[in-house]
Amino acid sequence: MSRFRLNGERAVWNDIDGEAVIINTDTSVYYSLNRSGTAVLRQIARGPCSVAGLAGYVSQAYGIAPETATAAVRALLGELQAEGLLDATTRDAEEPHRGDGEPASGPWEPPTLTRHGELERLVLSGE
Amino acid sequence: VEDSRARLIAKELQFLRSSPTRPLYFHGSSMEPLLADGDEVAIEPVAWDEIGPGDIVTYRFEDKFPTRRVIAKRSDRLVLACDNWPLLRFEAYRDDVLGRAVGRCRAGSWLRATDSEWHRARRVALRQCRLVFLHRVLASLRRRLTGIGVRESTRSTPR
Repeated sequence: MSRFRLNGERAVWNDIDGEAVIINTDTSVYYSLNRSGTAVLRQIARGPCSVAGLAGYVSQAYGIAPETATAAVRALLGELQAEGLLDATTRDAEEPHRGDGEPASGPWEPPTLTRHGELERLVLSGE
Repeated sequence: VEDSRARLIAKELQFLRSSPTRPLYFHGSSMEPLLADGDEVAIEPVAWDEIGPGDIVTYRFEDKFPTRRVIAKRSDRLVLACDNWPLLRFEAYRDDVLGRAVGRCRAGSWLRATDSEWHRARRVALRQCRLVFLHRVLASLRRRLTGIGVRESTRSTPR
């Protein structure tokens, strides 16, 4: 079973009031995730995750049907992977505990990855 | 997250990953001769306790990242100056400091913060700041003394 993990070389992110901002440091493209997407990202950041493991977490945390959770997680992982932010691994790494008690931050909404644009070269101001 | 906020956060994240292969660029003339327009600069995250006078730090100010030399450190903020503008003073609060300059590259050649040329620039800049401070103190004293002199002469003028 494939597990997904953050591409630590490229993907750098920060959680801003429950919503993640991510930058791909190779391409300088930056993104944001809504709250449910950020909740999934937080889980991935803790260690390699399977679709089933993440869907289980989402289903439990937001109280939604497992099929809905699986479809949403699969879609989000596909997007993150297409943007080079995630790696798939088939190694049998131990899946971290999904945090039974970790509450959902806000109501359920399908995870959304927004591509904001590309940063120009970073300039230190010395004017 | 609004686009402008996401952009600023992304820039700060980019800072954390700056390295010789992902350089930052210096713009302007304020830190000449050590840092000149177009120089690549390596910035590293730094603990507050490790920052001291003479260091060059980058901090967030609105949507810009000024890079200036520390001339004094208070409990919650830094007093900064530019090597090329020693008369001006700036302040950066602790939470806004993003990192410390550890090297610059010009024409393909790196100068590190551990190199003697970097130390020399540091000494010269701090000395210049101290001279400016001294000059200001003397000027202030002179104004006071002149004021006293004027008052004394006014008082002693016969009516």
